[in-house]
Amino acid sequence: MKGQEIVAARNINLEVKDGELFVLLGPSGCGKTTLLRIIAGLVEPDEGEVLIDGKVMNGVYPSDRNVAMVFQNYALYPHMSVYDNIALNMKVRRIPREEVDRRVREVADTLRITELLNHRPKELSGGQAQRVALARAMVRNPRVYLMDEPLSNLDAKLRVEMRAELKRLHRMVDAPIIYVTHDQVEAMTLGDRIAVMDKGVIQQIGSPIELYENPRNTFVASFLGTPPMNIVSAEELVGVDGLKGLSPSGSLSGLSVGFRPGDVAIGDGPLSFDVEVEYAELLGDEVLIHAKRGSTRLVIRAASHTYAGQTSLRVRLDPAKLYWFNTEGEAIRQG
Amino acid sequence: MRRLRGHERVSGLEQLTGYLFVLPTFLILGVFVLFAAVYSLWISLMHYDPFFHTVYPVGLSNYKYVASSRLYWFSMLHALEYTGVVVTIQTFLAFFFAVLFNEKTPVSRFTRAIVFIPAVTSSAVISVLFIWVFSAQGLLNAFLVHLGVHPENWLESTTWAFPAIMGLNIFTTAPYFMIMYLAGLQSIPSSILESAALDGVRNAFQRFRYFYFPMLKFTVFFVVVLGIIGSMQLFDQVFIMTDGGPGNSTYVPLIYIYNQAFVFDNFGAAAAASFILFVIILILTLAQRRLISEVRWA
Amino acid sequence: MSRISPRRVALLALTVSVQLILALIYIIPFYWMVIKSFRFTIFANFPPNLLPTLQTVGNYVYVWHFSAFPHWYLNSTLIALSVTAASVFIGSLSGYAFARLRFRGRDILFYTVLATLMIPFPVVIIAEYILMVDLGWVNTYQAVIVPSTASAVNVFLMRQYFTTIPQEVEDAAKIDGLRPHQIFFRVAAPLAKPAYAASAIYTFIGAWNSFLWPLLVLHSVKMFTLPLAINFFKGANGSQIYWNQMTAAEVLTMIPTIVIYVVFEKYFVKGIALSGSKG
Repeated sequence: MKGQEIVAARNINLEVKDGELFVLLGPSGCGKTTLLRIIAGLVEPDEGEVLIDGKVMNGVYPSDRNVAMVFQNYALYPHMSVYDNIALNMKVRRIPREEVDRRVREVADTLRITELLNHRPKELSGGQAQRVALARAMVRNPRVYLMDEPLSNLDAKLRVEMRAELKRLHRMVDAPIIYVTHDQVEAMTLGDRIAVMDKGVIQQIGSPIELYENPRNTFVASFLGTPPMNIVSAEELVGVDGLKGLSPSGSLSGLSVGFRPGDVAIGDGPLSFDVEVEYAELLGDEVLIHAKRGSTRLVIRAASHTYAGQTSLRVRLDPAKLYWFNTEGEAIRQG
Repeated sequence: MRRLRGHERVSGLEQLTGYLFVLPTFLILGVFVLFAAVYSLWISLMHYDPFFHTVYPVGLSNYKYVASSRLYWFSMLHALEYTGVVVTIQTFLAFFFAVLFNEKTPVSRFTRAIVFIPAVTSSAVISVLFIWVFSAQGLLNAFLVHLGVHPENWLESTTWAFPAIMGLNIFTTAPYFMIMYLAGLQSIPSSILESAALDGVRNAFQRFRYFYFPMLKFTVFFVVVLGIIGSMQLFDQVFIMTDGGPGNSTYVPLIYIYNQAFVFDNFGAAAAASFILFVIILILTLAQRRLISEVRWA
Repeated sequence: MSRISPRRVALLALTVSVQLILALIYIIPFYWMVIKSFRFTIFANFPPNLLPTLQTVGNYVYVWHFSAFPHWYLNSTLIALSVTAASVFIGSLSGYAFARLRFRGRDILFYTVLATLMIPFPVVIIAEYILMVDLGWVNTYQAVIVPSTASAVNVFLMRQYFTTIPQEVEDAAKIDGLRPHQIFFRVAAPLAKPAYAASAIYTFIGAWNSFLWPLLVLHSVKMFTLPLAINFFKGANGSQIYWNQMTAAEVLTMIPTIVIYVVFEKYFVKGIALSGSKG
């Protein structure tokens, strides 16, 4: 198959397409970095195949896979100038000096680091080091970009800037980018598609909006979105008017109900119930109300003017925006 | 779904590079340490004359010869006495030096540099210099006459020659081991000592008892082991200053081994003597490993 | 304004004086050695004259011109430099392999290297000498140099340092297309300069000062290293040591190691920290 790669690990099948920014999202230790290192060839999978352009890459030396990798700590060569950092890969491949020079300057220009070419890595700021790391990847014109939490060492403001920069670069290159992060905001804003991973297993793959709207299980549901989705055991909501009728099994036993903080409103009516307020965070126009229903903690996002500091509230669910999960935490699709 | 697992990729090239990189070390250490040790054991079972190539097995007779030599056991006893005294004093003194010179004062850097000079100086230079220090017209006497002590020709006295050599070695090795303790002290984060101060650890004794000693236990072990191995192999200073004399009063095992091989051409006996020495050093270092691990500081 | 308690001042004064007294004790013999080397008299006066007097440089002229001193200097330099270059290079290759390359049996091989530290030199000294006789190397440079070209201590020290280099940097190099040996020469080794410096300094000083092994294998006066020359000089005039010439020879012997010590002082603690206390 031309123009696409298939990456497979065990019976996890990932297919990453040209021009796509594919995010591997998950908490630390979930195996996303291992997966990335398998694709890079730094780690050999115990089973399964890695294919690039339909060719099996297992056993191929990392540099011969034509992949580029950007590391969390940038992994610049501390003893070399920025220029040499970018040029090293071409030098060891014995590309003519003029050609190396032309390409280094071209990529430095794209990333606006031309004036840094003679500096040493330790003289660079975090953002500059990140640009150099990107330049080192881009200069090779690789078949795949692999990025391992490239923004996690930057401070919040710079991270937003670099995110925009990455978007810009992404549009300039055809090769797909496989991007590892534990930050769901980064994943949602950058990713064309996201694979959510937990405990070495891919939980769900889809576009950000698909994952947000149709999480396959409670892990995905509670990992995406700030604040995360409320998941309440249906037992806590026994007696809530009209809830039982919405249940996919017609009963409430063994099920959990999920709803986003913004899909619950203050007020009485069908699907309403009482909660005890623990504290509220005022964010300006909005207020986040941290409340309790029985032993379960909930978060409610409401307009500031609708909440007057009550210690107990009646809240109403939106029947169209309920999620149902079974005892294994898997989503039950309706209709 | 099953868990994602993988192993670090090891290419054949990496394996090959690994073997090539360790090869030179193994060639040299293999020949000059491992093979030499075995060869030495073999020689100890032979009558061995390397110059006339007369080599024939003699069983354990070299060991019998050495084991029945009064001079050998006399030298061994000397070495043990020397090790006991020198290792004990230098271990404590080096620790004291380290704590003292770790204190930042306007002169600490400079004075520490001076104290370390003997550790970078050739044993031959120091030994000859201390022939003067211990001589009748030497520095030690010049100092002692002020205290009303009768001057002595230290190296020519059967009573004092050996203690003088002990003193010289404590003088030169204490600064060397001081550096080891300094490295250990500097690896203790200052935040630990600060939080200890907040916990009510105030005086120096408590700081030692609860922090320095437990945290430097490994360094202490190292200093003692290196001290023992070094002391049991004492040679340069004795060879240069007294050559075992006067009257064998400074005779040590390495002088015995040297003399057997290079004075009496008795290489088999020399090899046997060195093997016995090895076993004794091994026992000492293993024993002290037990000892240190049984001492509980906190 | 910060207040310093009287107790602290007293403690500081005590610390400074003890430091100074110790430094004085340690410097006096060397100080006497230097001033004696500029005096006319052969004998050591009693009580020793510690006044800084410069009477003559003749002792140095004599030692340099009327003995084989230039030759001994050359021998020592040649031997110490060769041993240092070889042992540090070989040690860094193996240290890197043990730290970062993966190959079958690596751990066993590493423990074998460490185990050689348990074999004291006297055990092998006889066999090693006979080996030199067998090889026909007695009274040659290589007899002193070759057995010292591998040092378990250097292997260990370099390994400790290489394990502190971030793995990510090496992964980046791997993806950049560097083969394992290129990663060593182009990335890891340049980053290990402090470790190279520390092990080079210790190796050089050890080789320069080494006495017993050269004593066994270097027989002719022309082949002597400086420590052997010092010992030889000591006995040159029977039981009487010509102290003014002797001390001049000692000063000349000490100069290189002292210069190295003064220039690279900061590496001394670092080197020990690498090889020792971290286990």
